[in-house]
Amino acid sequence: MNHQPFENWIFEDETLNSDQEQSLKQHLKECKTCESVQKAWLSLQDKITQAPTIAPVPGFSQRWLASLPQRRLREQRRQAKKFVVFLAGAAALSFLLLIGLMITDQSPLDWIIGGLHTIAQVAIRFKQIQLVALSIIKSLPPFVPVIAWISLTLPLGLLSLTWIGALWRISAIGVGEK
Amino acid sequence: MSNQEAEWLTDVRQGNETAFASLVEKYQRPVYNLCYRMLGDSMEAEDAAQESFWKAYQAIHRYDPNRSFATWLLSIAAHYCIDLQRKRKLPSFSMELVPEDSIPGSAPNPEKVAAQTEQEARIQKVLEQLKPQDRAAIILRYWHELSDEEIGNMLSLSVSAVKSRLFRARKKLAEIWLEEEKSINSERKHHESPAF
Repeated sequence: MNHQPFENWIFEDETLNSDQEQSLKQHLKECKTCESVQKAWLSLQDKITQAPTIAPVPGFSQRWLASLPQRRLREQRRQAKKFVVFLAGAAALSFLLLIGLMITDQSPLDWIIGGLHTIAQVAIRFKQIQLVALSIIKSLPPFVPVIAWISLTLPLGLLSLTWIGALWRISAIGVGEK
Repeated sequence: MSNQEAEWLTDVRQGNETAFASLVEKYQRPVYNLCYRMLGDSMEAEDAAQESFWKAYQAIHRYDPNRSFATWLLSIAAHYCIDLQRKRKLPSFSMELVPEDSIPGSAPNPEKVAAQTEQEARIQKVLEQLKPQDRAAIILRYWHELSDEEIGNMLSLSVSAVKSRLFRARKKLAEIWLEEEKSINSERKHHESPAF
């Protein structure tokens, strides 16, 4: 049996005119399938409209307020992580671009020679810095007391530690956390 | 929107979180109800409702005062619950009993309470069978009495898409309900048969 347009009339929200209502009634008398489906829908619709609006356990807004510091911290961590991921991504992309440029610009042999040359240059520079530092230390008058060395190296060491600590804090917790 | 609500919103925009707590107090019930009907579990509904308010608080500068605040808030909660349902793929309704004190006017009569909780469980069970977006459309229509246009704005759907989703959802609900009724009736007949 053809259930259209009666099925639409049963489940649509539109108001039926008197002719449509009459033909739907006639169809429901003849079609047991549509009749049982309509009855089921009307019964469920009735139950749904009678079903209450469920409320949360008392103290919902207080719990929301109490959760704010935790949520802020979580958000800051999320943003810090996003920032670190962004930086790492940008660095990786730049590195890949550089490699791409090198590969397209030069032959693999040139690239290996260039890399080795850079490593050798870094080693030579390091050696030169070391020699300059040693010569400065040797040229200093012998009467410079040990205490002066300690007072110079200790703040520098502390500054380095603070710098490392600040970097860790920014990457792990984020900016703005109290 | 009431004057009080507009005042709260102005205060929230200036960073007053206590003013937002007043809005939470006012809208906790509809938001929680939507989350509960979508997820079917009171713990999950509590978390989802709290998270929805947090999302709204964070996005308060994007709220258009010409729109209804309640609709905007429910839209955030509906999208959040739909995403949750999609992430977990399979719905996991716990079929837990609704706490007695969360039903308005619930009588202390144990029989009545038992009947109400059983009915709630049946309603949740049939809602579970719907796709998250269809379920959201049904909940917004029948529990929050929103129009097709409002539902469409909230779920980012056209009015005709809302109509067809509601049609499909109603048909499916009716078929499931009919099957349930049949199985309950056959169980009753089985228990009432002279052999027992």
